Amino acid sequence: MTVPLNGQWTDTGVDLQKGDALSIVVGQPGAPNRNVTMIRLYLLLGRMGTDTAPFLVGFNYKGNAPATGRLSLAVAGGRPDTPGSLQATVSYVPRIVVTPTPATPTPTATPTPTATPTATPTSSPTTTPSPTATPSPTTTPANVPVPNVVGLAAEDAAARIVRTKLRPVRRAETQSCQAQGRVTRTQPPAGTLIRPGSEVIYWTASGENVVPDLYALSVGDATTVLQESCFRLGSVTSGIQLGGGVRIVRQNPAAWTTAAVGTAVSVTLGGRIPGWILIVLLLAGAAIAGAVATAILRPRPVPKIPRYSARTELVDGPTNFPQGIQTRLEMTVEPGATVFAGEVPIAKREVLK
Amino acid sequence: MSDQSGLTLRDLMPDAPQLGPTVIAALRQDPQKSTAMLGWETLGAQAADSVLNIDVLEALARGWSTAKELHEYTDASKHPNGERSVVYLGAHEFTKTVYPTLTVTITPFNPVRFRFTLDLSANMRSVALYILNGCITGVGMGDGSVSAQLKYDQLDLRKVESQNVQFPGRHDFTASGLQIG
Repeated sequence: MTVPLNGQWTDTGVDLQKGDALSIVVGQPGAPNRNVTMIRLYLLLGRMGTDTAPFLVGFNYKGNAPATGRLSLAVAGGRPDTPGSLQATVSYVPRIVVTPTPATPTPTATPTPTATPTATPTSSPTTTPSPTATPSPTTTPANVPVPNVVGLAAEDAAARIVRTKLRPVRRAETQSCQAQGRVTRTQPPAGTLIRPGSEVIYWTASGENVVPDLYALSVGDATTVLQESCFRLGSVTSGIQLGGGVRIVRQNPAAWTTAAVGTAVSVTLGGRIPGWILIVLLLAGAAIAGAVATAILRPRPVPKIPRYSARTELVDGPTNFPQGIQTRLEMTVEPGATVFAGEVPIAKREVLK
Repeated sequence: MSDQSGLTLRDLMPDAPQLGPTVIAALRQDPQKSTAMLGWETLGAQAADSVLNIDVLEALARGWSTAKELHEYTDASKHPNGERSVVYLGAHEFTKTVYPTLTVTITPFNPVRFRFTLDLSANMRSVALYILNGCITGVGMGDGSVSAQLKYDQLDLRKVESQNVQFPGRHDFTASGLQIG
């Protein structure tokens, strides 16, 4: 879904119950999204309903719905007139509600409060009471804890869940730092007591994650971002060694593509200024400073005088370039009529030697 | 080309800074001229400067260059090439109209033209014209009075009554001067 950068809340149309598993990933996996190349400058926020406090979604949110209600998303950091948008992928899994139900008597556990011994004590000294004749109270199957299967291979996890007399259900693969096929989490979480035979949903890792966008990040920030996304920093290329801040201008694999967990992401730094450009800039700065000083010291700028040729009367007027808009001003003086009121007397003629 | 003679329209209209707002007010009357208004708002100050810096003396000299009494100076048989003449004109009156036209180009819009009308009325007592090869090459030794009226479309922007002007010294036009005829 598209979330504008202008700070407006966007209704996702997703109704959630508190505790539902929720995943919000900025960007569409596999689809480069140049709108969010500077996503680190913004913060994606979520809100349940309209009255709850926003919660931080950030770059890649995985957790539970903090409250019940309709999920909305908004971008903090943009201004009302900020153009553009970012893409966010929302996925969720409804929470499994474990409701204790009255135990239903099973045939083998049918209490037989009226059971009588099949033999009288006097019939035979070797007679033993039948097991079925043992009086038993009302039997409720004991709840069992959900086993901890995070990190196990899917097959092993399923087997362990079955051994606990629970029913394993494998769900869509998700992003995580686990290797491919390893269980990332369960629902209910490990340790929760539930009835035997209940479903335990487990998610397994795809082994591939979406490569985060590192554009304009420093190496340090990029390292952190990569670690959060289960990648590592690869080679760092920087051909220029002088100048100011260093930011990432290229990366491989590209942002928003998928790559195997643990892949090394190589980056190329930019933003540094070559030495010769630095020198040129310094000289230019000195020249500009000199020009500014001259302009300040000059008593009054002489306005540019329009000039025109005797033949065409074309005037090259002054020019100005405000706000990056190219402008040009040209003046012509088109000749008009001349009307004499009577004769033009010639009082005297001279020929200069 | 000519150098500035020292007598500009600004000298005749020292209180002309109202020029810009007046043009804006005129443009606001026509919604089709929104681009023109943008152009004027962007470069209006410089545009007004360009208009006010018009050389009045040169504009008047263009009027004198059309006087039939001077046509003989284009006849090389009467005034051979290289002959430097000074013609002293007596008292006379004339009006000279010129159209200062500003073309403002703001990318990516089409150029916008602002065509002004400047009417100069001269009542001269005397003036000396320097003539060479059928061209007025300079003006000097003159005095009289000049009035001016500047208009944009049908809108009167500014009108000044006659002001005395004097040309105590000689002012030469550079290059070949102003062609007579």
